[in-house]
Amino acid sequence: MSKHDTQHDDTLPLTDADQAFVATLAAAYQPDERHPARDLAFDRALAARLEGRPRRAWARWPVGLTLAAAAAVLVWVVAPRPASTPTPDPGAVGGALAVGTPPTAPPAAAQGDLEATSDPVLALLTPTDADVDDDALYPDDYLALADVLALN
Amino acid sequence: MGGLGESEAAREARFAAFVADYRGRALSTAWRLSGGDDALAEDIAQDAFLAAHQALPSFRGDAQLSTWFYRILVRTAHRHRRKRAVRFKVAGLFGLEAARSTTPVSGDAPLRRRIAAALDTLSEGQRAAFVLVHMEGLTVTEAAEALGSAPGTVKSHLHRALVRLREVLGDLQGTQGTEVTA
Repeated sequence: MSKHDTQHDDTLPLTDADQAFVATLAAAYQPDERHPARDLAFDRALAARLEGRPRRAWARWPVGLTLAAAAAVLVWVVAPRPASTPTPDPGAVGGALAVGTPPTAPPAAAQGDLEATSDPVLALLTPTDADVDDDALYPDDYLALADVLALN
Repeated sequence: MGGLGESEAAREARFAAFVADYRGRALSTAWRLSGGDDALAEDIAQDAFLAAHQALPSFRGDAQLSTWFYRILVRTAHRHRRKRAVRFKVAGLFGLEAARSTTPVSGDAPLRRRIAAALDTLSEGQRAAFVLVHMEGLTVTEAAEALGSAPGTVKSHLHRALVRLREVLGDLQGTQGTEVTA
């Protein structure tokens, strides 16, 4: 421990000029006075973030909803696939990638077949055009760069 | 500020009171540490309060609540400043200008920018020590606890910061009052 550490002295050896200089900076460099509405918005935003924090998520997740989700997944797994569902052709996927088509978008013919199915569970689980996230249209490296640049 | 065994409702109520008590100081300190960026200061303060909320059960009162919170706040500000620096650097690589806060200011905006730029030339430790002691009014001991440093280290930071700031802002000496903050 250094000599300074043992002194426990809070005083600073400031000259009058130093003190005036420091006071000048402190007086000039301070935020604008806040409007109460901004404080209210701050508190609301903080409360929302606290609410959204995953605290004991298991206790807030209804057991019935968990069972229903598990049952839906089970039905989807064991349900017979429609015979008309085409198997993706690796060559076709490669061709689609080559012209910039997002890999997550299903071929138009397959989409039509899936929408035509009578299986309600499968229909619910199958993404439609409206469900496709706009971000899926862009490659991952673009999204990462946009995130860094705060463009999103 | 609570402790182990406190009921959750009581803890939440005390936390709400804590936010009300410290919001102004947190925003002011964050604003000064962030280079006068209003939006960034709000982000820093929010994150610091969230971190404090999470860490609250482990707070045993060994330190003052204020210095405990200042420590969280300073670390959060440091993390945000680093992220912002990376954003500016990446934006510069692509010839873009990263977004800055455009909140209108009522004070002397050019002077604020000069001071912010001068503070930006200091090291993290020097800047935090200067802001906490000379602008927020903490004692050297309190600042040392908040920064996790020895008081002697804080004094060294303060001395070097003052020398540097007087080099850069020497023309400002004693132009506004003589109130001493430390």
